[in-house]
Amino acid sequence: MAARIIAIFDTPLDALAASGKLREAGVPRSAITLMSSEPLHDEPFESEHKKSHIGALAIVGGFIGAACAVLLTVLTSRRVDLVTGGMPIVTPWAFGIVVFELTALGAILATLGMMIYEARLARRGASDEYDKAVSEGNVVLCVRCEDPSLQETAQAALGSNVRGSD
Amino acid sequence: MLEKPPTNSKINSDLLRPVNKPGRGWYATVTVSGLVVLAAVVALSYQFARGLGVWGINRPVFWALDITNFVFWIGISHAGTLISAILRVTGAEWRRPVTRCAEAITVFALMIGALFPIIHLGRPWFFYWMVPYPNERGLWPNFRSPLAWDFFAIGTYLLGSIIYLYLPLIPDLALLRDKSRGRWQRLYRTLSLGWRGTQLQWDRLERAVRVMAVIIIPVAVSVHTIVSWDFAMTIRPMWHSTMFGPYFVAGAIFSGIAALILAMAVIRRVFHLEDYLRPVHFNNLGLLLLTMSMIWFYFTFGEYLTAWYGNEPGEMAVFRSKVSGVYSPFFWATICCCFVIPVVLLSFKRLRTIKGTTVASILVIVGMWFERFLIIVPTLAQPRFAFNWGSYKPTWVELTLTAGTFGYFVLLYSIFSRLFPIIAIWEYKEGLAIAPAQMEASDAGRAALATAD
Amino acid sequence: MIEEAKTKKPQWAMVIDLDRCTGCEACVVACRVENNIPTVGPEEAAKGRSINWIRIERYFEGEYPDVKVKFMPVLCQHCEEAPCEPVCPVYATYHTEEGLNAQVYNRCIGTRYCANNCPYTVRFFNFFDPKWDAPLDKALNPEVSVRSRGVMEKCTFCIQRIRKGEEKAKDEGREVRDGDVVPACVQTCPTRAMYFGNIGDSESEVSKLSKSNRASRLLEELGTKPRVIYLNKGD
Repeated sequence: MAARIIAIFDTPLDALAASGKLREAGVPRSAITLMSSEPLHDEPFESEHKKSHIGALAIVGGFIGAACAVLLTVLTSRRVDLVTGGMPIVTPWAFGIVVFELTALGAILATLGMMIYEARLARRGASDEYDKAVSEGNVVLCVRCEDPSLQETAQAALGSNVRGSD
Repeated sequence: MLEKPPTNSKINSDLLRPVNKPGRGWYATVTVSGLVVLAAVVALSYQFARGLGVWGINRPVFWALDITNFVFWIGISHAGTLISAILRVTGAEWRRPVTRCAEAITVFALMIGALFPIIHLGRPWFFYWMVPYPNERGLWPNFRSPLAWDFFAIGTYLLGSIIYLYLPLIPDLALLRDKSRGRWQRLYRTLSLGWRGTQLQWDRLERAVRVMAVIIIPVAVSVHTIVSWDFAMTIRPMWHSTMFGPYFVAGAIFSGIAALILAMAVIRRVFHLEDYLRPVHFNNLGLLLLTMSMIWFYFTFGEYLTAWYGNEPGEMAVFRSKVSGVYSPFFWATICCCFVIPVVLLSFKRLRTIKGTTVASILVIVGMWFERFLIIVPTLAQPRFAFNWGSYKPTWVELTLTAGTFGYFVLLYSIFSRLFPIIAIWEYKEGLAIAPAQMEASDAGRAALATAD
Repeated sequence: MIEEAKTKKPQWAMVIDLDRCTGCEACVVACRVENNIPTVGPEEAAKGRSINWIRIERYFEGEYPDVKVKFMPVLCQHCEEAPCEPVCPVYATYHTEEGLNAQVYNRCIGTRYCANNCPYTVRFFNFFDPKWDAPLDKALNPEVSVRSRGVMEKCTFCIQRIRKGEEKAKDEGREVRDGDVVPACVQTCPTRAMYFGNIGDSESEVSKLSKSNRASRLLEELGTKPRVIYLNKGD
């Protein structure tokens, strides 16, 4: 079980400085997490996120929705096989409207799902790496240290801002 | 930007006040709207027990207030999309205090509108036959019917707008989770999905919201287009018009903005959010309302001019009944409420105040309700064979149901603003931090930025 | 007009001779008796809810003393391209292979969209549960289902009589002939102004009459392709 050190800072500047010190001490970047109540837009950590696939998956979801709609409308209208108003059994213009809507629905659900997945929401253990100070406007820094010696270095680097550790 | 983010407690306490200390006005509102909803439930039960004969509909006016309310409320639901999505996509920062108000309007208006395709049925207990699912009868919905399109369009839009409301709500839910106790805390904890505010989460959230905004705009346009096609796909005079799609979408956006302005004015007063919903917001929305009023008039004029100029007997019968006949008082009242008076109120900066835009919005909402009525009933009352011409008068059941929809909307909205902050706290603060000039924040807001708390 | 039978099934059609119609409304009465049509009562009728699968539309032309009265029996036209059919979300109305516009009472959920799209205004809705004042409740036709409230109904060309005629022909091992099927209105008309039969059979009465120079159809320009032909000399 990796040890976690949580430190609380008043401003993003302080937190950034601390994370710089941690990196100099040899802590890998992936072990450091900064949490805030606003997105920190200028923050250099931003560019280090892996590329997001939300947009791509939205498009995939759209295609799946479209395929489902085509299957639904074409197969069921053939199954029912009743003539209405002299229109053909498979009516592309009319069915196209259902296809449009289900395409959008597919894209919407894919976006939601992918976002929850990529943001690592709805998972257990989230509160272990969190402090309510975020909601007071502070920036909270969390370090995951497996190596006990690194733990001490991290503690030293973070100094008095450390809240507690386990 | 790397100074302390503006989390100062003033903004928090202001925007959380409706949640923590709603005040007597809130309780009064909930009581009154609850009673109206109760009356509507009684009327609805009576209707389910006795049959649709308790309404005023007849042959040939088979649809009247039921479909008027349906189209009206679906129209109101276009508030959220325009303001929230289009302004988000175009980077208009002044939208920040307004987006959640708008998104909430969309969800509740849609929920109300979506009730009517069920309660207007002759046999509403079979409404689920419109849902495509495998069954022993081997029967499926008829996807050629515009009503089947309605099911998919409204369903997609409802789900989409709930998600679109929910996603930016997550960080505020986490805020509430951290600040509350007891059973409310459990609710917020579940809904916030363990949000921590890591930079990865912020990035993914903002990305997802941007993608949603892009998807939801064509969905919203398609929804009211498809609702309009309930009429345009028929061959009734003055219904079978190629212009109905854009006409209805414009009308929907028009009534949606009016509803938003009214909701904002009420919230501002009831929750004392004068620092956040400022004259500039009403001014900008007022300008949008003015634009939509002109666009609405442009479409209306086009519809009526082509009918009159074409002089086709079926259409002229309907036209005459609206412009100079039995429905003319409503028609001219609609023109005044939707165009003449709002244009005057909204064109002059001196009149385009919070009060001015609110009055214009109320008139627009009333006018647009009658506009829906005028699209539906005169056409149905004047079918092609004059022997079958009829008329329509609503009964207490329909009027109570109509009042009930407004009561239900107010009730849902009140409950929402009690459970969740009606102004998106993190988005507001983000705006102050990254684009303070565009945010048009009050002096108090700017001062809050400066003080460390 | 698609009148050649694509299958060998009879293609039902009706011819109404307006020059013979006196507007007596015997057909209206016969239809209600045959098809269990409820009487809605005077209050409901005043609201415009009375149900008449066939009705006589009456128009006055001219000024006194040169007034003419025109009578036009209007019933479901069983359009070949019926606008009422595609708009029903649950397939409660569709076109049969014999050219009938079928209404399936058990499937109807009462959206009333079909009624709104019918240009002839021939569709009717049951606003309340139907009831018959005694002793009419003992005179219901057992071959026709009674509709509940919330369901649409309209002229079926007396489909129960069509089925009976077809079954009789099948039992006798022959095709359906002219005269095998007579709807209630056609049967009752005292001036014999109405004809019914298979327009796909070139020897049938309706087929021959439909080619008359007095023949026309209602609202032909709408492209509904109705199967009711009106004969009218026109003055």
